[in-house]
Amino acid sequence: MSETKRGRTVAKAAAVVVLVVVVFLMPNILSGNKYWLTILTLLAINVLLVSSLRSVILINEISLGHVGFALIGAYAQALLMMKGGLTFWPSLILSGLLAAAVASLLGHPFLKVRGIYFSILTLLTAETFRLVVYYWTGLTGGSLGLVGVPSPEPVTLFGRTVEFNTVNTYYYLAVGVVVIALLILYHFERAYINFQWRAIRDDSMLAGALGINVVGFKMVNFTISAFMAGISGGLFAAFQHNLSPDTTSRFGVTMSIYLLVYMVVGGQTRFIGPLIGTAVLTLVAEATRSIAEYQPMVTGSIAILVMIFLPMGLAGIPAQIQTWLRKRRLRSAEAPVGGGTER
Amino acid sequence: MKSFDVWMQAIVNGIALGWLYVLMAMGLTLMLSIMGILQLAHGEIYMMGAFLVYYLTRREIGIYPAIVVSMAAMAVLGVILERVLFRPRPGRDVALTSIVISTGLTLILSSAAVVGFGLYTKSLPPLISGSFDLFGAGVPKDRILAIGFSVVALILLYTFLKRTRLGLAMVASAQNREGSFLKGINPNHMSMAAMAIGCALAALAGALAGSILQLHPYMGSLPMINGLVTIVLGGLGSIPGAVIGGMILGLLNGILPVMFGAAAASVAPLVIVILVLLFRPKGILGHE
Repeated sequence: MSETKRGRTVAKAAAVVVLVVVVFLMPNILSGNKYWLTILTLLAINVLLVSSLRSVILINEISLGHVGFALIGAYAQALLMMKGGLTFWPSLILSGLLAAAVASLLGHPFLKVRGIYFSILTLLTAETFRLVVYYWTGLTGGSLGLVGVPSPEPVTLFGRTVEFNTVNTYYYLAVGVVVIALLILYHFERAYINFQWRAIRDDSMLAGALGINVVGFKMVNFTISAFMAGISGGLFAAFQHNLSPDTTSRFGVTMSIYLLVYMVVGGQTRFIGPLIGTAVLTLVAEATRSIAEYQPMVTGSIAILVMIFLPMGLAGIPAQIQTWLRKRRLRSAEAPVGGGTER
Repeated sequence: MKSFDVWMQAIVNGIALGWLYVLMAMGLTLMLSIMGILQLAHGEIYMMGAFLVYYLTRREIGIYPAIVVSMAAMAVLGVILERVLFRPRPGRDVALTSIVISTGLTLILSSAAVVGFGLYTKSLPPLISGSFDLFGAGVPKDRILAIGFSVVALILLYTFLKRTRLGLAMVASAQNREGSFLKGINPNHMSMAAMAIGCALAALAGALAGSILQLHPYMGSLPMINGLVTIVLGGLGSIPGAVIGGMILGLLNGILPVMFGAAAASVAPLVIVILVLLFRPKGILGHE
């Protein structure tokens, strides 16, 4: 038993090393193909957003409003850099903190209600933020969008100046920030606070009776997750250089839906789920680019099929195969000759 | 200072919008309380209903028969959706499953609408043309007629739920699924009825909205969100609560843009919902 366990740990470590090397060498592998590097950078930003959405699942709530926090982060980043005169890094942190502050203000009334009500309220929140940005033309440019968000300023590293105004270099910056953010989220999932979150997830009434401050711990979770969503928005703003609050833009209801689908297709019970779901569905979207108008149909069908046939998502396939094999082995042991096919 | 005419129109528009939200909220609340699902594709049913009316009227069918046909067609679609997609599966989290399946459905239906109906806005023929004089201000007749249809539909629904056997069975199933099952009420049949009625009401709302406003493949998301907010405001499962919630939202959406401009008005629903939740977490007329 311990032999297989050690083998699995080694395999996991090897997979992580291979992943890191591949991610690091990706611009070289793609030989600077701008199109694919743009997609990969957006993929990394989306993975962070979906992971932040997934961290709310830890307290058994489904948020449809993380697009709203990403919007706050993106516009805060853009306005702080363009009108506030701040540099990239302070405004990235500030935009995350602003999203977190808004979330903690909303958290108190929102987290008192549970279940589907919370989803409804977060959906309303995201749409409200979008409409405010859409109509507040003086500050945000309204439906024309906010154009000309500057790139991060160059950094001098080991005597070499690194500029972040190309896709090639911004890829490293975005992936670096996303990896750090994911490590923080992973830490929270393994830290002591996760016991309280799990207690709340499994039975919030019992958790409250045991002396756990249910609303308080839920608010901590919601605030952290909004912070990460804000950071992803800030990364997006400095990458795309222009922002738009249209219905069909990145900050509309449709994007909330996509994020949820990414999460569930990957498998919301695993930490790796958002990465797998976002990567697979981004690749599917690229593969169906020639039939772009049918592409939401493909994504929607995948979401429904995964929900019906793979409740644990793509990340849960190995576990499902294992249980299936075990069942088969048991059955074949019970019925040795000729009885293997019947159920 | 805006003229009296503008205010009157804002109020009438607000009330008409509010009744559309009430119609959406009734369907959503039926599905939420009987099936326990959040049907996020309800806005797309509304859009499909409106477009069906549009294509029927293009084929020289009068608008009233077209609305009836569209309501019936959406009811059938609702039954099919319930049977194929929303029937509960053992061992699954109903909330997450329903949200994901309905969002997938949203993607499918809205992109089908983009492909099939095109991105250009269309409009239905008006229910009735002209306007009449109310306290010296011109009020368009079609708004009043839309309000009238919504009120009639709601009264019919109310009598159905309170006076007929099927309606009472649906209420019982919403109150206690297991208990009513023991009394011989099949929850799956109740879910089918809830989906059928909800989708028919959405088609009606879409057709009325299509004659007042415009048709667009993405027209459904805002009424759907406002319908959900109406439920939160009024309290789940309360018809008078939904009417109050819908009126509050509709009047806010009608009057505030005239008063303070669109940016301030778009925050109002969120503020109202937060205020209501702080003092009455179950909604204005809600109860356990």
